[in-house]
Amino acid sequence: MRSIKALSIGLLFGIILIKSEAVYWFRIQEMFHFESFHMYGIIGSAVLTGAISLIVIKKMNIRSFNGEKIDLQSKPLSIYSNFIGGILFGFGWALLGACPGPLYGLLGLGYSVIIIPICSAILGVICYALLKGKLPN
Amino acid sequence: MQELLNFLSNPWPWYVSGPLIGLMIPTLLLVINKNFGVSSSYKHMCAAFGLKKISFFDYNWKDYSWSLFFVLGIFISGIIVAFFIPNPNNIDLSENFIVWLQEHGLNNANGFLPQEIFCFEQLSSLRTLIILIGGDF
Repeated sequence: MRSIKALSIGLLFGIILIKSEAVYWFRIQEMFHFESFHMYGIIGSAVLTGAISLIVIKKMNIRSFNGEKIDLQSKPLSIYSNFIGGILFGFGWALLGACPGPLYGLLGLGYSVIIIPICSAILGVICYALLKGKLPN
Repeated sequence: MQELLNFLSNPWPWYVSGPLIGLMIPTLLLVINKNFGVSSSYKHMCAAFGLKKISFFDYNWKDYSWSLFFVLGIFISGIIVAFFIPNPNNIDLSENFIVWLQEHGLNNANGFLPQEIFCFEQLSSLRTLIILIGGDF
């Protein structure tokens, strides 16, 4: 049952993502050229809505639909790691013009060549896993 | 019905899609009590493929199977959009950016990705290889 719910939310998310134009290579590159407000508007309003929702859930102690306590995983704030990670993420985002989520959507839209960056992402995780012990984390 | 389909096939403005994307965070929490995230799906895939020799992947991936269903949903959403609600028009890019694209030999700003870069025939080109493999590594 949980799987079907997760799949449905993924479906909804994917359609919104495609309709927002955030999966378009052209939009992402336009954003990196500072030629349009579109992507900044999307990201800004998405972060704001997400943050407000989280604050409301936390302050009002809202429970999930089946009565569980909401499991908010707060990660320790590490400015240094987030900074390095953010920069690396940006390099990849600008180079490919897509981030991990939209890749699945693009594959579904029929761009079969996207299977290569997906495999490459998996390869990237494997390399990280192998190197993890040697990195300062 | 036709009007609904028209609305669905046209792209949405950022102030509609941005907040909707943000609302995915509380939706996931309220419905299945999970923290929003796509990138970790690549890690869970490795765990599901059975790369247990690497300690990073040595956990019960079934606890995270929702993540794989979630991205399967994104993939299916791509198929649905492509078949039922494709956007008939080119996206509304800034004039400056279109000029920049043309200067770089990208004359077709239709579809999601520039076909000149993202196609299997181009795989022999170093540029495409770097973009496709480097981008999400």
